[in-house]
Amino acid sequence: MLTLENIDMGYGDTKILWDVSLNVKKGEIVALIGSNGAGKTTLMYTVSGLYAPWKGRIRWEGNDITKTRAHERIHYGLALVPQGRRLFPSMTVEQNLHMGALHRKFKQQDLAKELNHVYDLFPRLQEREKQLAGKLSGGEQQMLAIGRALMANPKMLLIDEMSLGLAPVLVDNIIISLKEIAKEGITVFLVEQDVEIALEISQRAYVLEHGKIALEGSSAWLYDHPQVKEAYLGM
Amino acid sequence: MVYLQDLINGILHGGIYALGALSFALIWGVMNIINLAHGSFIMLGAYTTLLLFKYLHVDPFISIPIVFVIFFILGYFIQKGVLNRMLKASMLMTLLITFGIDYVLTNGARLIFTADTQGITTSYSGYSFALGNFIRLPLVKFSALLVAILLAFLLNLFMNRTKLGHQITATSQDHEAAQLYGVNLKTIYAIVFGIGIGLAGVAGAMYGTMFPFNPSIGSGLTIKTFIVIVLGGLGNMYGALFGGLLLGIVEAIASHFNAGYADVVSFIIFVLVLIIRPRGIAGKESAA
Repeated sequence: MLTLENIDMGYGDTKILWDVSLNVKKGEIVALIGSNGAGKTTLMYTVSGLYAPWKGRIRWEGNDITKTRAHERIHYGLALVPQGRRLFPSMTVEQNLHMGALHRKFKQQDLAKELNHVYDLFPRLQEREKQLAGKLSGGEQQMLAIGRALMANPKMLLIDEMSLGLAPVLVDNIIISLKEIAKEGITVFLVEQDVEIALEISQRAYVLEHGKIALEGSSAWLYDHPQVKEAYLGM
Repeated sequence: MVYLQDLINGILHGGIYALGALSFALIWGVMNIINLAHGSFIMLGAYTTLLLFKYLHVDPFISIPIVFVIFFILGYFIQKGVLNRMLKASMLMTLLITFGIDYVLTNGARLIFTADTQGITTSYSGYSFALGNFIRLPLVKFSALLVAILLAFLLNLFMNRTKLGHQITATSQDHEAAQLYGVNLKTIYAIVFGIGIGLAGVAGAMYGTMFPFNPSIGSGLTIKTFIVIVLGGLGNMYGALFGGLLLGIVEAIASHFNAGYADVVSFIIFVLVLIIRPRGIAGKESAA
């Protein structure tokens, strides 16, 4: 469904990603793990089109979307939940959710139906409907960021560092919701610093080290891999 | 009673300042562009209204929508053709570019309209209502204030109630996240610059009916716009309205004593506000 072919990318003179190739198949939950500064967020921004790669190709359902601009990629069903949530802080929860559905043309009724779907998943958001996004707690903001992406009716959710700065109990809640989302048939590609969480949710994973793919395989296999154990799980 | 008349005049002048500042703040707030040519667009708005009045006999108040459309298109294409190419450039570069546009507009206007001072005099220009025995409300200035208030209201409605308005608000808060959710940054920027310049043009149309003008008034107006925003605070529409009215009143009362005092007093207040309350009198905490 999503294929990266030999991606090189960086800022200025600094190369961040070195010949990165990976693929995510329809219906999968795939994780990209790696330490701070490995290039995970850069990779996510490249996939979502905010930054163009120096070299290589991005394919989406067989089409080359390397040159497709960020605001057009949402039409293909590719929605990013960015690191740090990146909500619109002075807009209400409801307005933030509406922004997610910006590119879709539908009637008021259908919009309400979509909203209710998100509210079913995250009832807290409904309670806070009229509040400003900037006033929410960290966990609520993360729910809103995922909700906003769901409003775009995505085929694939890209989630960047959802656990960052959240209490473990909140992370558990979000993981449960994420599994529900995946059951609805939405493919999930997540980038995660917390390797334990990442390998628990995903079926397959890639390990990014210093901008290069170091390992790839099933999450269960990686969980027991000595290299992963030593470097990321502290065992 | 004399002071009351000054107060009224100040409020009436303040409407123009508010409209200029509102459009300036819109561009600054959404795109982080400090448009040094803003005052010259106001100047150009006055000349456009003069031309429409002189040659096509369009009443200055009727010409408001025409001027808005002309200036919207002008702003749209300046953003598309020039400023959108500099999105990743530093603030200094955009300052230089708008400074350059200011030069082109000012000297272009000198070339076409000469440096002579002109004015727009309609059949009703001298008309005013009497309020009580001592105070008079000039019709043209009063109407200009109403136009400014109406436009501020419409802009607010547009920003809060329309899908496009929400896109603009979202872009001003996080332009990358807005792009991720389908906002075409360059188009939104062009529309915002179009609206900003459109409103500057209308401010110019109103200015032309109230004061004499020449091609050099632009830079002075840009500075006044700046003062208004510092007084009122950025990132808040009511701030511009409040700052505009305040500047108008201060100027009117100061010039009651001596015409030269108007600028002196307004600059003293400008500096004082910067020292004591840099976010502006009506500004929110960390509005930027």
